[in-house]
Order: sequence, then structure tokens, then C-alpha cells
Amino acid sequence: MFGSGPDRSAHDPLTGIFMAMRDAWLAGVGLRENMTVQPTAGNPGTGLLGATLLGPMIGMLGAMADLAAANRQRFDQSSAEGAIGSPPGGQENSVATDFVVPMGHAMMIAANRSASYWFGLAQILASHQARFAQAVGVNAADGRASGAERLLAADELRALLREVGDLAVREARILQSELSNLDESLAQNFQQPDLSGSYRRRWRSKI
Amino acid sequence: MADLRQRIARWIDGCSEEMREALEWQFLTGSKYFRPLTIFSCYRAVREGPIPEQIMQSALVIELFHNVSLIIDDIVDRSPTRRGRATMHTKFGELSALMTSGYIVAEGYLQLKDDLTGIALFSELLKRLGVAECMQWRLRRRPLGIEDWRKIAGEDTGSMFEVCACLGDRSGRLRTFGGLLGLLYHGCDDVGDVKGLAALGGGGEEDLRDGILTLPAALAIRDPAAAKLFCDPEGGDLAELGRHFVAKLPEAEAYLDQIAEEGRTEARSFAVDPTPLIALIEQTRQLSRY
Repeated sequence: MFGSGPDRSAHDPLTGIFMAMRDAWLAGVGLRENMTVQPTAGNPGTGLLGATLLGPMIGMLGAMADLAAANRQRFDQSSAEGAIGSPPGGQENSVATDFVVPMGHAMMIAANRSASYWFGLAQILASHQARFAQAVGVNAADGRASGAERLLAADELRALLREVGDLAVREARILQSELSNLDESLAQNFQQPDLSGSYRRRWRSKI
Repeated sequence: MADLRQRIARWIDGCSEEMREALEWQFLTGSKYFRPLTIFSCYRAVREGPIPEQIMQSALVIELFHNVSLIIDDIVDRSPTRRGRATMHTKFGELSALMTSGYIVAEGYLQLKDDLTGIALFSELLKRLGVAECMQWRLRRRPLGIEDWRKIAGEDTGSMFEVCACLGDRSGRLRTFGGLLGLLYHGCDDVGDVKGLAALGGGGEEDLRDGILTLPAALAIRDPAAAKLFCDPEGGDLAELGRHFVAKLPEAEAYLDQIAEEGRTEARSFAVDPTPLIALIEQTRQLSRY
């Protein structure tokens, strides 16, 4: 799923993410060099541009999916160990329930958000790909473009940058909201029931 | 809304006799109350139960401040009519209109009493509206793009609805939703003006004459011929420029659909109950489709 190639799946999920980040960075450098070193020898074209930028995005998405799967595996393992290795109602089982479950939940939330971010990024790039390639085509790249064409190219690029920024902020806000809900439910689990009846603050009037 | 209407009437009754006629002229006629509705809907999207007093106060004050912006806009645009009747400065003169605006702002802050969050939000609104008007005027008759339109509209109508959302939800969760709703409203207004609709109050001719960057304008001036007319409207044919704008209406409508979808996604992601927010989006989207 999501481009889990043999080169990445051979490594642990964290290394996979770093490799995908490296690929994305190299793709960016490659595209920049292609635009500046060979400005008149042709433009990257829609297909090449898509292959250059979309590939690493898909790779990153795959790396995130691998990490989410690995987290899930670790979480299931520790939950099972917690359940088997301690007597029912024992201290260790309680620790597993109190901490391992919410931690696993938090890790899954984080992994889901990461995957959602990279998926969204790939979608944004795909939707802009054709228009962007057209806008930064031969004329714009070699400086032969008219003022209107250059303005259009700049507008397309600005739209792409805004959408990427908006996506990052939205995913971060959702992450914050989901972690905050988890935090709230954790706090409520630890609240001791008040068995003392209605609390009355002691006071003494000052004379 | 009936409660709000009564509050406005009571508020006018308590104002200085000198101002009352002008205030009645401005406030007691066919307002759509869309901004108060946005406040109520944002409250409903995050909480249940009856609308508290503080939210009602905010709804009253947003209607006051919105009318201040209308009075100033009408003076600046030299608009003789609004909602089918004479504008305040046409009826009572510019001095009265300007002084009444200041009076309404001061009254608005008094109505907020000890609502510090509300005071901060209304201050933000007045500052941003001022900046937006100056920016829009400075950037007129320039060959800019959609992204520039988004910036101007986001500061103008966008800031108004961002503040409405924050006044309603009181946590800032729906601020981005409010900004998108404002952007949608501004865009529908722009498209409606080109379609020659009276439903949104008109104003298309002024924008065309002054070279204001509307959504259809931003799309049309990608064509160098339209850009030339737009940048120098006095030397060219305004009717021809208008035809360029009309040709871009389907593209503008598609762009508005995209903003509406962004708004729905935002509502689904951050509201406890997105239903009232999605209803707002649908209602706003219809404004350019009459």
C-alpha cells in the first residue's frame, strides 16, 4: 500500500521515513537544478514534474503507513503481554490499562495525522500538477513569458504554497484537538469519586 | 432574531434624541441579520441549550458595527441608495452620517459591558476592516491574481465573519471556518454584482469604475486585453471590461464551490455539530445563484 517498495520495507519504519524525506529533498533539488541549469533545453513537462514531485510524496505516505502499522503491532503486543503476564486485577494489568492503552492510542492518533498530512499533500500536488507544469513551462522558465503569463505562473505557485500551509495548520489543529480529547478522558479516568457528600468549605467570620 | 430586533429597537429608544431618526432610518429596515445568525450558528455548533445573554449582546453589537461599515462604505462609494432606499449620508448629510457612525461604535462598546473577550474581538474587527479598506484602495487598477483577491477579501468580509465565529464559539476553534464563510460571502457578492443582482445591495458599477479587484476581475485580467482595460478604465470601454467579467462567471462559480467545500471540511473537522455551519455555507452559496 502507498508505494511500500522493497528498498524501504527492508528498513525499520523510522528509517523508512528518513529515506522518504531524503527522496523528497533530492527531488526538490533535482527539479530546481533542472529549471536553472537547462532553461532552454526544454521544460520538465507534466509527466516528468509529476514523477519528480509526486513519487517522493507517495513514498512518504507509504513510510507513514508503515510506521502506523508498526506502532499498532507494538501496541497490540504490549497490551497482550500486559493481559497475560499479570494476575487479573493486579497492579501490572492496571498499569497496562492506565498507560499503555492511552499511549498506544496517542501513537495511533499521531501516525494517522501524519499519514493524513502526506496523503493531503500528494492530493494537492496532483491537483496542481497540470496547471503548475503549464504555468512554469518553457516560456515562464526561460524568461520569454509575457507579463500576464508570469503573473499567472506566480498565482498558481502562490495557491499551491497557501494550500500546503493551510493543510499543515489544519492537520496540526486536528492533532491538537484529538490529543486534547484523549488528555481529557485520561484525566477523568484518574479522578477519584467524591464520597464525602457535598463539600462545605470551613469558614470563620472575621470580627 | 425577533429578540434581536426588539433589542435593537430598545437600544435606539435609549439613544440621544438627536441621533434617533438617523438610527431608525439605518437599523429598522430589511436587514438580513446574517452576521448575528453566524454568531448563533457557531454557538450552536459547539454548545447546546438556550443562547446566553453574552452571545445575544455580541449579536446586537455585530449588527451595530456592521452598519457602521455600511455607512462608511456608502460615503466612500458615493452610493445614493442601499436596499432600495436612500443611504444615510444622502438622507441626513455626510456630517450626520459620520458622527452617527462614531456614536454607534461608542454605544457598541458600552453594550459589551464587562465582556473582555468581546471587546478584544470587536477591536480586532475595526482595525482589520480599516486595514482592508486601505489595502483594497491602494491595490486598485493593478493586474493582480486570485491569491491577492483572497488576501483582500479575507481581511475585509473574512475578518467580519472570523470575528462572528469567535464571538459565537468563544474558543477560536471556528475562526478559520468564519474566515472561509466570509471569503465565500465576499466572492458571491462579487459574482452577484456582475450578474446585476439587487439581492446583495448592488455596487458592481462602482467596483468596475474604481478598478477594485473582485473575483471575476481577478480571473478576467489574466487576459492581457482585459488587464489593460482594468488598469486604465477611464481610457477604455467599461462595457467591454464588463463583458470580460461576465465571460469568467462560470469559472468564478466553480472557484466559489471550491471555497464552499473548504468551509464544509473545516466545519466537519472542528464543530461538535457541523449542521448549523453547513446550513450557513449553503445559504451563502445561494447568494450568487438567484
